[in-house]
Amino acid sequence: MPHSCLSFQRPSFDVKLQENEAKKLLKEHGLTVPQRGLDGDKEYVVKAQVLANHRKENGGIKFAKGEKQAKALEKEIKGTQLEGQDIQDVLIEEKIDFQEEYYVSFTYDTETRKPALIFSKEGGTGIENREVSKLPLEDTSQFRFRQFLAENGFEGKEIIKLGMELQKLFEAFLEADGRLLEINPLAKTDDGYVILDAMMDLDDDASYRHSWDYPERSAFDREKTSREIRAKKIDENDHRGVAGKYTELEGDIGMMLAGGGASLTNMDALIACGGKPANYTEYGGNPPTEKVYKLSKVIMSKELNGLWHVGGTANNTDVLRTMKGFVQALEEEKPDYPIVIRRDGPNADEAFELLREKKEELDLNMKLFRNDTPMTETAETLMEMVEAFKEDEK
Amino acid sequence: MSIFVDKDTKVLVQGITGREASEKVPEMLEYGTEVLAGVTPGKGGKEVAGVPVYDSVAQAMDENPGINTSLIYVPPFAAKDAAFEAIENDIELLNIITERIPVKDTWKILRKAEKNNVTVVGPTSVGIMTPEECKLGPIGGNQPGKAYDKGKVGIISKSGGMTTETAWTIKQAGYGVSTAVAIGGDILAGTTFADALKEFEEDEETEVVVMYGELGGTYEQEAAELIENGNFTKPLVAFIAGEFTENLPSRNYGHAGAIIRGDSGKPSVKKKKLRDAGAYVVDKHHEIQGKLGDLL
Repeated sequence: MPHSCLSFQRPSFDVKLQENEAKKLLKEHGLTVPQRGLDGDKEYVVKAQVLANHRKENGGIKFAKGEKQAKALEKEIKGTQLEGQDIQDVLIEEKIDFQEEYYVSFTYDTETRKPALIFSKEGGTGIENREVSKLPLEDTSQFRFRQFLAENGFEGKEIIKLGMELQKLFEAFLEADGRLLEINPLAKTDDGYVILDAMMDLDDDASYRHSWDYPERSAFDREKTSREIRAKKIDENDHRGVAGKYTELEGDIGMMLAGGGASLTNMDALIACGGKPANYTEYGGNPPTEKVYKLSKVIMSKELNGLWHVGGTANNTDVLRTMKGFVQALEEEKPDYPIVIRRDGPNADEAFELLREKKEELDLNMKLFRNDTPMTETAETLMEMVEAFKEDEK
Repeated sequence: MSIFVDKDTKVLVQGITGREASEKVPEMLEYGTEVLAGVTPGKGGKEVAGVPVYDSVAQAMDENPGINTSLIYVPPFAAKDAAFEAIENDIELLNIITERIPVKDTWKILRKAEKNNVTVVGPTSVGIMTPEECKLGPIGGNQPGKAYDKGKVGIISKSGGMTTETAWTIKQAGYGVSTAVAIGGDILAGTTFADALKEFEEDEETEVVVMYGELGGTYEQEAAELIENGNFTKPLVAFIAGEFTENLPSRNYGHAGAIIRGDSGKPSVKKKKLRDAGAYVVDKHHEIQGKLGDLL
């Protein structure tokens, strides 16, 4: 899953660390990082702590001669924005002189289904455009790294020293339950290797065996909207099922989507029929009526021209229990725009009986489908109704 | 014929006394699946739906010769240990239902399984179904007959719910299923699309395969490569979900992912690669029906 659009990784997600957090963790694992904080009159690096790729080019990394200038730069950077993110935290550390800089990263590679080392002799900025070598890893043995370095043009003692360093980094990656560790650069100095910049994603599924407490960071390019915050609270106070995943989008069609795979499938289907989703949402597991009601309210709180409540044939989700929450929201909102429901599964007979009653009672412009109509076909039905509704509105 | 499970499948359920497993065992028995034994350490001597429970896999195997498949339902923190126990007791096929197993543990399970020639399906699998012969796991719910008819279409799916939705779509088109395999959506999968396609290639009963893929990873691309290399010759119908995510305001940090995978995790890239290889890629899920009509 995991992968490109991080907010939609299922079933797990990554805990993303800022540079200073990653360095602190690596230091705890016995690796060398620059000394942090002010310590007399020397040269410093002042670094904005945001999850962004091009901090240096965007003025997020600056060099200072002496404490006074470092403090001034910290003040200058703090509170400004970089790539749309607020800079709340600034890291000041000693400037390191080095002879070489390497790119080193560890991640899980789906091609081999193993962890892999990705390495370049020329680290630093512009790495995305340079040649790198990949080494699939069977275990933490040191010889693998020595062999790899020898094949990549290293000689003599450096094969042993850098080999040891790579092994230590890989061990830290595994011990910390990392999903990604990226060191760029790893600097070669007179006193050994120093991590100048580090990025780390941890495996949230392993959090039970660690004492992590990192704040949640969205992979979104913007702050959460008030509706997204409202939806998130739905799951925070009640762990039965999932009904708090709500991502606000630009469109005018409300999306009440059941099940992970089905919700991806149906988002694509609506867009393929010319619809513009007002949100992305998935509810699943077996959430209680109350949670589905709250989520429905969040979805219906936008200006909509249509609403699609769609899911597959549930295996475990009680369709009556969940549909009751949706109906409760319909009773309060009494929408005049078209609604299409397609759902099936346990207690669907009773659920659809209730829906038919409410349709009459509230005089709703609503069409109901069970699993004898394919899920994605009902996107076409809804969009036809939406066209007619928009014509009437004119 | 079928793949992975059939009428000769004899099942051990690890974590049988848990809430989920004890609910699903009766469903499996009702379908005719042979569940011979279960294991929950410390609960030896009990029964779940008439199935005897043992403290260890070794004991269960001694008392119930013929067990060849383990269904793993133990919680994430104990899943690696349970899988190791099954592998060391020479069980040929593990189907891991457990969700949210740390990726490091999954890697170790797959590594050990490979050394011992054991097949793993999962983690985060909803099960495997060969209609009229064996329902392994929660696949198809408590009325599997509703969606799964016996037939000649193979199913491979990353999503649990969409496995049965796909079976249902196939049934609506008037066809049945040879075997449906839910491979799970984790970053490391014991059985990938390519692995399952190789099995379907050898299976006489299967004439067409339908695959449900999603954004992320490279397993869909490997399926395309398998066709290109001539190692899968039957028609493949593919649906890949999640293209809408390509237009969302999300971002990635770092370059490792990009270096390893480029933009290959994108559904549009996967679809193109499959189309170029000669697979029948449909843009809407229900179009699978028409495509099967053309092919069968």
